[in-house]
Amino acid sequence: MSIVTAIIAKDLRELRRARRVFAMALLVLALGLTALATSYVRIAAYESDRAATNVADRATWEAQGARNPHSAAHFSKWAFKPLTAQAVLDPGIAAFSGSAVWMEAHNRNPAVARPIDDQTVILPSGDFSVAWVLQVLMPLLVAVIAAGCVARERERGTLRLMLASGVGELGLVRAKLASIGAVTLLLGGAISAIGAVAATGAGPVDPAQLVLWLIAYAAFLAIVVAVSVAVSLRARSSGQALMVLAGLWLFAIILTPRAAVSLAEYAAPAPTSEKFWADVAAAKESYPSPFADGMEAFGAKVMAQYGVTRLEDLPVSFGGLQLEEDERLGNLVYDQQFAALFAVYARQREWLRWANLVSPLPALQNISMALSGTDMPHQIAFQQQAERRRRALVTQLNTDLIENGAGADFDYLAGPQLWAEVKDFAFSPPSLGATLAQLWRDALILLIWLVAATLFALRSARHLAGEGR
Amino acid sequence: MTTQPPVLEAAGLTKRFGEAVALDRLDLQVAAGETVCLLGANGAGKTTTINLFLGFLEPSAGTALVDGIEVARSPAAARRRLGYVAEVVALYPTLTGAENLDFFAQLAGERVDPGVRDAILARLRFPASAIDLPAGSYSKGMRQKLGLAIALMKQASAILLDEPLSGLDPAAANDLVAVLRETAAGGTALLISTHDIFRAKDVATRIGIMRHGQLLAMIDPATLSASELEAIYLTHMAERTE
Amino acid sequence: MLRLIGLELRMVLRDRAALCLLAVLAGALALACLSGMALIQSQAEGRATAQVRQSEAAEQFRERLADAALPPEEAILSPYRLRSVLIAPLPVLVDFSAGRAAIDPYATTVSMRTSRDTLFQRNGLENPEMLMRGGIDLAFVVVVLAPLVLIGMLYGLFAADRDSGVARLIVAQAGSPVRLIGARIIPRLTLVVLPIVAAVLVQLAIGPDIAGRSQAAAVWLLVAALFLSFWAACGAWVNSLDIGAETAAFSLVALWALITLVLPAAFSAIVQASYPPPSRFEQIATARAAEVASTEVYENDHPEIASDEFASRLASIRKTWEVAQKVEAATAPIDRRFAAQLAAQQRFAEALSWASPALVAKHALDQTAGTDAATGQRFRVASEAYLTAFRRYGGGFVARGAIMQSADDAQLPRFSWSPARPLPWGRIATLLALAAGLLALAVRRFARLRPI
Repeated sequence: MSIVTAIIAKDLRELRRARRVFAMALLVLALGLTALATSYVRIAAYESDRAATNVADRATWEAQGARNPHSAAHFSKWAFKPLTAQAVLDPGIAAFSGSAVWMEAHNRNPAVARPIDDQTVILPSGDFSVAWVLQVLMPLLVAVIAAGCVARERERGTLRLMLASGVGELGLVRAKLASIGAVTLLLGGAISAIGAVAATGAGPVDPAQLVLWLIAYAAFLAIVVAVSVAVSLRARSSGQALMVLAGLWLFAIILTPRAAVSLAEYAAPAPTSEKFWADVAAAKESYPSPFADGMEAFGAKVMAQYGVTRLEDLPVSFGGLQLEEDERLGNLVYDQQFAALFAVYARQREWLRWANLVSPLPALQNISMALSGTDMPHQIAFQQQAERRRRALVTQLNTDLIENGAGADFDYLAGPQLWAEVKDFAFSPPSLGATLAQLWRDALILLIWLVAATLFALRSARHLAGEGR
Repeated sequence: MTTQPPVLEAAGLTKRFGEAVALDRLDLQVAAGETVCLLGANGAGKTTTINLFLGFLEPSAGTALVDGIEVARSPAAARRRLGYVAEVVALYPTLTGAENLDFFAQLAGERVDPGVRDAILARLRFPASAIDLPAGSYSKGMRQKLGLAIALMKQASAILLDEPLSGLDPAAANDLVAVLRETAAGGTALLISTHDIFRAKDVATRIGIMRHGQLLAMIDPATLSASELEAIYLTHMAERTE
Repeated sequence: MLRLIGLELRMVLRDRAALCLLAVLAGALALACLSGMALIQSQAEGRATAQVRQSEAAEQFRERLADAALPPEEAILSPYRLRSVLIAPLPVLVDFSAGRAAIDPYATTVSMRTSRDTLFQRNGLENPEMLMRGGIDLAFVVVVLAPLVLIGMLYGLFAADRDSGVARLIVAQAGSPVRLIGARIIPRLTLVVLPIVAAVLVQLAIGPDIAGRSQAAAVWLLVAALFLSFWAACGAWVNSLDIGAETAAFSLVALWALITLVLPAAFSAIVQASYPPPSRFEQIATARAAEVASTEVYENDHPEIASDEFASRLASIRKTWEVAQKVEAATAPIDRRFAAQLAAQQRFAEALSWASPALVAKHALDQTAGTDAATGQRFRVASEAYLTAFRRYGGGFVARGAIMQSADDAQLPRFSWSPARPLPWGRIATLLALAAGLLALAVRRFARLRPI
């Protein structure tokens, strides 16, 4: 057995016998598995609920009897956001974002049914999930395990013996990285692997996305291992190493993401709901309404289009045309206002990225959520697709009124045949290519952190110089 | 033989750690102004005796009394009457000598009078310039002297010293012995554990020879020469191996 | 004792690690103050916007009622032109504890077309990415960060002396280390609490003038001080065990992780498993099915284009009102069932939270600040009650076929709701009991200490 292998074997044996470390590792493992079980049940229940709701609501929609199409456009349908199987691993922003949009005529409604509205236990750093365990608890566990890996050897005097036995300084550092890495791989790997299996059981999974997710977490935990070993190399005592690592964990994992939010809110404040809807109302009023001040002009335009001189002579429903024109003008306003809102979100996201200067966690979170389909781009894609469906649905119903409601307008009643023709909302998530295209910066940041942390650990080998003499 | 009531008294004092007997029915009395040295090899029970008087250990049998106070029943009250100098005097390395003195005096409920402090340090020949240096920079001798200064400033009835001269150079050891003699002359009872026969003869009014937790003999060193004392000591040490 | 405290304070201020920790605390407090100021400004602006809307809507409606030239076929639609903006008062200490301020709605507009499920439909535009990560407020500093800073400063309270060998001399000199432990805890606790007090005073000085704000701040500080005293007591108790400094550090950090991270996570899982949240999807679908089943012909929302005639318009809005009442009646049991399920889950979560001092402190801070879940819930309930009164008022005119006059404006129900501000005495008592109990245990152990 080489010296390096001997050191690794000795370290692993010691760790197995260190009761408190063993207990902590078991606790983290138990929490990881509990988080996984909870997420699995929640996602499975959610998807089953969503499927049942779609079926039930379809039946309700088709059974609404004879009704004016515009009335049906107000009753309308709902778009329910699906959760991918990977959401078992990282629920991302799912608890904080709406999963249902009422695709109502005249109104672009925000997504509602945010789980956080009904929840009272809010964790200090995110939703209880496998991702949370790997992002928050695993680094703390690694810090505890790694704090004494060199510092305690130094305290006991066994470091000198090891160096005197012929293992070089770099060899020792590589051995320590390997032994801490092995334990981290064992624990983190166990949680991630079981999670990956659970995800495949929860529904169809893109293997490429899953593999990339695992690689991202492996890189993150490798960064934590490298930094922890480096601190242990430099610390005077294992107690000091533990306190420094606990401080770094607090700073990088708990404080930095929150501080970044405060910075982003300050640098790119989002409008309040009150202001937003007030702006929407004001913008709508700036357009001439086809029902009020713009009615005459619109009427003239329509009559010219159909070559008639009286509205009563129109071969189509003028009321229907007014409704469709009102939709068109409203949609211009919504496009403008929501584009501005999403632009603010994008600017906030850019400000959040600055936190990567002091912590690799924000980059990992972006990658993890994106590959789980629970990040902001996915949420915006859902809302935009729901909006496209809404417009298509309302136009379809208005068109039926326009074409068949001449002379009857709001007394015209459509029937089950029309309702059956209206399609349900179906969400198409962004492709893996599109998702990865957005993530290149986060991936690069994680890679830079990995290289820097490894170099930091290897350079810290200098602190072993003089120990062996 | 002293007629004053003993400051330190052990009656049948016994300490067992499991099957091992660290101290076996010790009977000992130290009066005010007396200096008793407990002489013996490592594991003889000397430090155990000191720890029992300090209340750091609970006796398995017998009693330890300080000024008539049973240590096991009222350890805090007993300690208030005791000074203590450990074999390795532990100080706060980032505090100066003066700050360490002040701190430990505060713990004992005393205020440090700089004049009294300086007088004690002068008696100990502690370098005046060093008192304002961090204690982490002190030599072993300086640490022992400061430890003794801490004990002297407490104005205790008795001072317990555990191997106070171990590792000291002859000059520092002489300084310490001179101060110990003066202290005893002032009426303080001293109980010293040591395995330095010759220093023990210099300072003690009585020497107790201990081995395997037992007090084998109590000797008046004034009646013996150093070589006679050494011979008696070695005889007692050798008896066990027969 | 005072001199000993002074000595200990000097020692702490010479410790670079302690100074680093205090610097981190100060930085976090500064950030928390800035975030708090931004939040209170945003909340105040939102309410001001809503107030402007309310004033404008009220003014427009008064002008409409006073317009003698308004034709009857237009005037009959007045109930359906009526708008009322409901605004919850600014929470008294929202800049101290953000709590649920960024999540729960504080304003909404009601009209005759509003129903219970659409009452707060237009809220929830906050960036979920930011909500998920959370921000830094003073409550976060008190509950999460300050305990760690305190742990960093007192993990070696006596354990370090055990490691270095000074413990024996301490006990020999002092009789028992109790006084020393007290002299060590006081300056450290003070150094952590004082910056928090300073931050509170700054926020009070620059914040808005709300009735009861200073008193609430005093209670808030009391909770913070008690919670940190609990941690100081934990430090004392851990150090009274026969362990070294490294083990003490590990134990305290592990205890912090357990109380602050692990227990809340475990509770989340337990609540999920025991009381799965009722399904909003099912609520939506069931309500819609009930709506369709209860109406044979759905209402149309443009009575003004359906017909120009008074009688037709009146008939149309009567139908609208009748349908709305039927829908309300059909969906009320569904909503009640949903609310009951949710309330049961929330009661269970609330009961579990008493087992984690961190959650006890957080709830107490949020409750004092007026940003807790219960306050948000009470606003919702008050809004729903107002909606019922509002619609009944407007519906009365519709049912009678009466045209609203200027004098009727004074009879319109007004929304005025003030949050009850029960102080968290139960939680304060719990924190006090925990701190005092642990401290008493620690003192007892230290008094009997034998440093071998």
